[in-house]
Amino acid sequence: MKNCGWYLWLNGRKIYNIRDLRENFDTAVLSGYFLGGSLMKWLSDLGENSIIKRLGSVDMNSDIGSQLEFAFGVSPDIKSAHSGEIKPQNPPTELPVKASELGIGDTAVFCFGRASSFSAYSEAASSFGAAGSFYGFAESSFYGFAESSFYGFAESSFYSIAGTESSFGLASSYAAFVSVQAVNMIQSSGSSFRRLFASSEIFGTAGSFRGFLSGSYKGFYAGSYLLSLFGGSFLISSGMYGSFLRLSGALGEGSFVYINNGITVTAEEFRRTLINLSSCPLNAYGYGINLV
Amino acid sequence: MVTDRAAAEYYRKNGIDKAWDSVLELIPEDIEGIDPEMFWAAGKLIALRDIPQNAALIDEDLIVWNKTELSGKAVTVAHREYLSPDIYPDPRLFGVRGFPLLDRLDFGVLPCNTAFLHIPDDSFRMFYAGQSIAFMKAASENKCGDRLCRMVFAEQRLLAMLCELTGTDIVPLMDMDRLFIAQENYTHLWGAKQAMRDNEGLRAGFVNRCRERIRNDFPDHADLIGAIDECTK
Repeated sequence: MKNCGWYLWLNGRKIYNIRDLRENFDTAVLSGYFLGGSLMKWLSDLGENSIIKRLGSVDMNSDIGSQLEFAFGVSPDIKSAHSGEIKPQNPPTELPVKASELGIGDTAVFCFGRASSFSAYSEAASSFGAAGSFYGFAESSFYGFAESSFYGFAESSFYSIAGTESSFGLASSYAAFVSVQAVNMIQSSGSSFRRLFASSEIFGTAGSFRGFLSGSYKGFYAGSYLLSLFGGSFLISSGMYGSFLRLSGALGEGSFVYINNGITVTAEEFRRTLINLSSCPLNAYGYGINLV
Repeated sequence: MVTDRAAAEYYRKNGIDKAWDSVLELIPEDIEGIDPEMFWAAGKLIALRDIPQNAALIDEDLIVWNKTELSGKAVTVAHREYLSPDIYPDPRLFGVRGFPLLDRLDFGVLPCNTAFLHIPDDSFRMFYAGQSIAFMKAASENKCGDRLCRMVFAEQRLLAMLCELTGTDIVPLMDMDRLFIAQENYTHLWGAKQAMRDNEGLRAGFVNRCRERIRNDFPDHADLIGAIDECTK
């Protein structure tokens, strides 16, 4: 029995010859090999010209699996021999997420409201993850945003959005995506997010992160971040919109409350938002460009 | 360089073909009947299937400034990607008929960015390329306006799923959570290509920096800069 120099992966096994193929006939996988052109190459390398000839007359508008069975001389009564476990799929509308993997801390209580301020002064009340990403969120500070909780952002990138140093840290590449001008560090008093977006009216006058979650998840698509988004703002400091209010109470790990109308945002919704918030703009603008 | 006839002629005409040892015209004009708008990178998978000897596939918008060691067993990719539902929706929603393997795949596996791709096992390379091409052919039966989701599924998500299915390890060149941390090894234009098309200043700045780095790091190839400048006039 002649063996091919490379194998087909069928029924969880590496198949090198025709005999093993017939014994491990896997219609689903073979259909892919056939349509993709790899099967003909395998047969050609084996010198199986008669099978190649039969496969040459396959009617693409009919059931390919049956025709493959006939071409290989496998009884049409033999079902696919695959015995691997069919892994259960998640429902299309949900992502499989464990609460512990969300990077959201125990207290994780945030309020996204128009005139509310986030004045959590102790790390215990403000953690956004194991690395303390919303750490020590003193009034108008936003310190130590862990890498994993906001994909693509450097450590401590949300550093100190206080009145003086509201730099966006090492997230200059993030600024690049949304700025049409250049790649610059965002440094300004109380306007770190404002600089990021050309349409500042959407994101507040005092540099607030206005336009945040209003309790519903909306797609944050590359190029559409100037448009869709979120409603609400956070207060940076007294009199300035855009920060978060420390709350206490039983809201559950990683959940959020929009203070004005009590809308609750689940941790899952927030995670999806962060993924899109980070993935789409980043995807739009590449990486390592300004480091050349 | 593995490409199609039109691109090969362009490279030769402008003297850019000297950047490579050879230029192979492996990608057919009709890309085997696959819809070229839905699957604009189909040629890459055909090339992967048909290359005469194993190689790393590198997209033209990924610059590898420094050589790296590659695994002799694991599949090496640029990096992983998150399962953003806007980019990677449930593939059953594509409504593709004629790709029965879909039912066996793990939808929770993180996709792989294949701007860089090295598959040391020729058999797995044929398996992945074949299944990907099969999906694209099956999906091309129902043309639609999707210019992203189906393509990235066929190329990037399917790779990760098939690795999971066969127990093949994946090694990323970069950590997806640290792509924007300063590093000097890789530049990936990715979506910035469009930004540079729209912004002459952005493009000029980047090109100038590339010229300087090429002159500095690869002086033997500095003459190619002139050839590129000529063909962009």
